[in-house]
Amino acid sequence: MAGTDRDYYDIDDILMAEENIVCTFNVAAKRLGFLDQSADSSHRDVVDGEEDNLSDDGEDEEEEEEEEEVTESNGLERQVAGDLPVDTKVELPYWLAETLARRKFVMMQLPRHYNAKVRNDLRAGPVAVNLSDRSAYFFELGFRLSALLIDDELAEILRKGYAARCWRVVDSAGWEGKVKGLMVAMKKLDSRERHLYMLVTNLINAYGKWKERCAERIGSARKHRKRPYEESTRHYHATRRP
Amino acid sequence: MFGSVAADLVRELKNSKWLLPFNESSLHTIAIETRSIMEMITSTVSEFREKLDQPEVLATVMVFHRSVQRNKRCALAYLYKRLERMRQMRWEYSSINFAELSNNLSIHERDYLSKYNRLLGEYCESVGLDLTAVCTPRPGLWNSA
Repeated sequence: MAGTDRDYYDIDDILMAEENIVCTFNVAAKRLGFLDQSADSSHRDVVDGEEDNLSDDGEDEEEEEEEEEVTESNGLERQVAGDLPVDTKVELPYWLAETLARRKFVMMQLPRHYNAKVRNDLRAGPVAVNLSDRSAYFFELGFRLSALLIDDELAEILRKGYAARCWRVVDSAGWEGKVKGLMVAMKKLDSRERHLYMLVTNLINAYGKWKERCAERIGSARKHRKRPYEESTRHYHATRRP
Repeated sequence: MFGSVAADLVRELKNSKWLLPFNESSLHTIAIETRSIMEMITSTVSEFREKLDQPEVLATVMVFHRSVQRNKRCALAYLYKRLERMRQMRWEYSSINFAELSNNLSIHERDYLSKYNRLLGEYCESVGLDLTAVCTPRPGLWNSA
């Protein structure tokens, strides 16, 4: 992962911005009716305010009435979609939500996995929290959101939790068994921690090899494996015996 | 939602170690989507020409604009990272089997690779060393015996 997290070409940065955030529109944006997936595409029928597709974050703020009252029945083509009513809740990816929120067109809600329960868990026992089934980019997104929503408490908790977990990752890497151990250990980590874990594991293995005097010999560049460009899923780095 | 094909393209990069076959069709789809978003922008602007400072219209145009930027970013990152991986491969596996690898590359990428090979070869010659050789010394090299 790049050290600078604002790298334009950074893959993880791009994928982190794909995470969905529930947003409430503050303006009745023209022609954006198609963003609202709980309506059907013709925008003609009145749907009874069902919001099954949208994720709640546990707070009972949703108003179900404003959902579908005014839509211009302008036909079925996407280009002539109806307007998006005010206070519609939509799930938008972060790259879109951030820009709209900065301009106050939209109000972002903190995703469910940053709610009070998770915060308490992180505060009490950070190492045990299972982040992989919450979000692959838990910390990065959390920091961005806490800056945007001015939530210092979240930033604090994330920082401390991340530090504690990093210590554990570095401690335990290299001591686990081969493949099976890796699976078990990495189950609770989000993608950044996994990367760290693999780095440390490889580091420890390399150190062990150096101690055993198995370091590479000088020579021409290693002959490539038969087909190096094919994916090998078992090995993180191709290692070659001397 | 716009940008989903683009995101899948980047995910493809993330889930692979080296180079999968060049995904021409996804890039094509992204280009078409971007073009149609541009059409939506122009039609929105022409429709609401006198109301352009209203937040309702601004929000719409912003959504379209961000989608275009997103598509651009993902596509560029895809292309850029592939080139980066090609260069890395060249340094790791010097005698790269050009014919087999080039099945996975686009024409431009093949061109890039051959030019890069030539450049690197010229430089190594001028320095006098094969710089892509392994750099760590033999284990017994510094023994006193």
